[in-house]
Amino acid sequence: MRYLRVRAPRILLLLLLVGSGNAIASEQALAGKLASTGSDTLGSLSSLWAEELQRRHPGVLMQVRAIGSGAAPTALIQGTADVGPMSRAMSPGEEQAFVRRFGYAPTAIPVAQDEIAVFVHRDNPLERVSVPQLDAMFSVTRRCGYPESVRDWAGLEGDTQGGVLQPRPISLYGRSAASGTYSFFRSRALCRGDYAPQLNRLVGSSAIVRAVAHDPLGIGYASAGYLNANVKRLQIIGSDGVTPVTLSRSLLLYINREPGSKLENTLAAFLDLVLSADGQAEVRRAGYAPLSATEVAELRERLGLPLG
Amino acid sequence: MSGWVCLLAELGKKQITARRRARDRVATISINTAGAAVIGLLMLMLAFLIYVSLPLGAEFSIGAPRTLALDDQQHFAVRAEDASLWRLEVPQGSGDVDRASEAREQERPLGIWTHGDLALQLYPHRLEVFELAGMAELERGDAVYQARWQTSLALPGLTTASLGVDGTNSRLLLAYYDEGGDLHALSFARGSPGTTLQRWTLSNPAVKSRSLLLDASLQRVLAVHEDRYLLWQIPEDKKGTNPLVSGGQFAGLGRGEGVHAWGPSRETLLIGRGTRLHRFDALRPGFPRLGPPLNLDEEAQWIARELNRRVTYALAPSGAVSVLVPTTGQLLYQGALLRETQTEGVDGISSTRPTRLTLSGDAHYLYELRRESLTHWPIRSGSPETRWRSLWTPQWYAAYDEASHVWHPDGKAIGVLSKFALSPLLYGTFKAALYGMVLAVPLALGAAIYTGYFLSPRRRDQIKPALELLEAFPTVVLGFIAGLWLAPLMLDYLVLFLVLPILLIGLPLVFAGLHLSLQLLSPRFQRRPPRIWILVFAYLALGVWLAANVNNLESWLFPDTVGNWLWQHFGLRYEQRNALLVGLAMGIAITPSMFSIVEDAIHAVPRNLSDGALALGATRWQSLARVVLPAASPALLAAVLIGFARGLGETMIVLLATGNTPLMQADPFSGLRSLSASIAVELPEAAVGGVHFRLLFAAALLLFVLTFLMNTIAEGFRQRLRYAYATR
Repeated sequence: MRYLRVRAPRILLLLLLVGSGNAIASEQALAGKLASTGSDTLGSLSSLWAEELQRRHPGVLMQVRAIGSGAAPTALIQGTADVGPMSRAMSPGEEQAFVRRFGYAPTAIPVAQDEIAVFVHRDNPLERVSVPQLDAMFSVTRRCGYPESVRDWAGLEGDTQGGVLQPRPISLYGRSAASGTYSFFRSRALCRGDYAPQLNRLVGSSAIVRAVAHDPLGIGYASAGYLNANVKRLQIIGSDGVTPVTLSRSLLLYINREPGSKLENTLAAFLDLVLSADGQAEVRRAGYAPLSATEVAELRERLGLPLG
Repeated sequence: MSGWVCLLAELGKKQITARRRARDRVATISINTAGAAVIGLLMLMLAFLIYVSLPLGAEFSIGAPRTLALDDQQHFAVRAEDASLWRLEVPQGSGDVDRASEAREQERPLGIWTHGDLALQLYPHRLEVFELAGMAELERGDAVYQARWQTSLALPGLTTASLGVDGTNSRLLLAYYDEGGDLHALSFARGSPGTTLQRWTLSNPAVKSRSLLLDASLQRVLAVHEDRYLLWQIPEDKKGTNPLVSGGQFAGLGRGEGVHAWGPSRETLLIGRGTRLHRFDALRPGFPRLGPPLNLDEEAQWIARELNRRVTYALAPSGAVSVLVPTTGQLLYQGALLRETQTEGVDGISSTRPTRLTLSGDAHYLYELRRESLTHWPIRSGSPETRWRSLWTPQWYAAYDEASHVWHPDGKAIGVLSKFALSPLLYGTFKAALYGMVLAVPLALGAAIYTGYFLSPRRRDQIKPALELLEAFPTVVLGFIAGLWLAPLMLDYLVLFLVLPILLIGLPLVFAGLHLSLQLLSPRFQRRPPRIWILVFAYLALGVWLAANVNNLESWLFPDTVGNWLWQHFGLRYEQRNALLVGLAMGIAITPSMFSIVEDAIHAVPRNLSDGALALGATRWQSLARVVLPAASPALLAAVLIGFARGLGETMIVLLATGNTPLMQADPFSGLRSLSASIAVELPEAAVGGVHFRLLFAAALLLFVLTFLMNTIAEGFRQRLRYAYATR
């Protein structure tokens, strides 16, 4: 009863506005439901956005379900979600299934950059490392082409700042198999090979940074946002030994938008928030790299959101 | 009068007994119901675990064939993905094709290939490309679907069907020999800005091979002739660069013709030669051999592999099909494939192959497309890769240096197959529990014996609840402390952690030995043994000295650091998250419950037994060792078993304190990965109903059975003890 009493004026107002054919014009009147299903990586970020959205538009109820990126395409196809956050691009199979159902491709909106950094203990003299060398350390399969596995720091030919790499065992630290980072690092740095069984699979990025900070013989990878002064980030170079390589992936929001059509009001409000200064500040808060101003402007234009 | 009173009293008594009886009945029923509910729930849980994991053991079988008659005039293709039938009709007067439609009617295709949603119909000098799409809403039955014509490609010089095709979802790779024997390759990319086509002529140094194997994901073309091969690497979207060619010889294959196929995910190369099936590593340069060849009953005439599982099909000329798992060599199925109507003669389409048997991409059908009929055999496969044996034996995977036990599930990456071996997980589970026991057994038994036998009742009442309260300590906190706080500390003070146990156990022995020898040497000591406080003082002094010199200790004992010494002399890698750490945390977690059981048992041994022994002149130690401990021994055993079972099932400590490394090393400095931690981490990510999902349930079942057995045995021991003293 109490709920009704509180809500009644707003519903009345809404009815009035609908009656006058001017429901869209007023931001106050924005109401509806928005469902987001998908990535676990983007889970906390999506929740932050959802909170902010509800603060801006109290009439909008946003529900966030962070199951895993694989859940997003299914939910979008079935229509149970309006937004599908994913920490990877849709596979061609997933995209085809969407096209088969709707006749057009889903729209992918990059909303943040997740950069994976490789780092060592701050006393380690190593400055940079190549992708095949990373593969030789972290994998058993060496699919990137390094001739032999590197299990010892002395077996690594790398740039050191005057220091000498001692013959000591390498301790490897990485994420547990459940994380997208684990898969991402596998496909980019190990050429899709298999991780060495010796890799310490820790729960959470901060645990990895902490472990490496305390282990002079450790090397690990984690989201760049989690790094601190106790570890030293390594520069990653390609197999030619010169080209710098960044291991970064876009975090995406997938939406179902028929080409040329206008976005739904609640969805437009949500994207307006995500691609705003506030929304991108939340990205930084969640430990990821925000988009550049030009990228934001470009995306806003593409989606038909008001610029500014 | 008194009779009345008696009668009333009797009545009252009867009433009371009736009420009491009713109350008893209610209590009995409710207690029985609750008990039965607990057992029922347990059984339900067990049944659920069995129900989920049972499909893992489903038998592999190939069902009865179904044949569909086809109109001879039409051209058909079977979609490789799901074995659905499609009619291919080139539209008349289509822009790219300038031939007369009548001429086309009489043309016979040299062959039809399908890949994913594409069908390729091959004519002399020309290739028609069709799209097989749009049946998502349709039910798959015997219906024939209409394919959408896409494009026509001119392939000059193509006359025979020596064509190789492979594709990823976005790119199609084709290679064929022309009349002159030159090898051509085409890359056909489908993307949003239309389709693009690139052509190369591959330099062809004198290998005349009819067997082309293509790999669209790595952009390479492999031609195999007897035991030699040539491999071309197609450049990645760079025009003007020539494909790189390399050649070599397969080790130990010998000359002769054979049949070839990529293994699953194109990670391996399978070569069937006579009754042997050879495996070569397609991920390492030079195609090194992967293990010994597998033996087949009959000569293989056609081999195929499933796309997403390590299952290989081999067909003999007699029609006998063998299905096996190449990594273990396990035979899943053997039987003859019978067709309902045997057609005679060689049909025009498949003249280059004896039979055109094909495996559908979803591995639900084996099918054969002839000009006048389509026959398909349904496959009921269960989960062939995870047979009991393959879960526990080492397997030699592509790009590995040797056969090994690998637990590497990763369902999310495209084109990578998971590797399932439960052996490292079970090994890790037992390792964690055993290292936990190393600390818990002496600690719990020692504490329990002291509290139960030597301590005054008043002190016992204080200490026992305090120790038992430790059990309520959440293990997640213990794991967290061990992983985040203790692990780095242990790395810094490794020597102390290693030397301390030796000192703790060794020093009393040294003192005892010293004492004995002094007693033997001098009669003075026999009369007056040294006081206990001397030992305590020696211990304290040693402790202070150790604490003061802990930093120097390492450099005194070892040339470098302990970790480095272990690495260089024993090849042992000191991991920060190791079994020692887990043992420590686990030991603390198990100790209270073990302590509680043993202490109760010792306390339950009737006092008069040990009093009797003391009265007969035994020392306290003698009465403990000879009277009390033997009487309580079933409980000691029970406590050890229960503690061990607890260690096997422990999850949070193992998850947080270890690096979850699926290793099979016994040394205390390496990490481990346990069954329970794997279940906790991986179950939320595993696709429901998939092999990984079911395997984790099977792991849960295994854990359940293990702990259930141990607890049952332990309870049996405790019951024995209880009965033994029930009469006294």
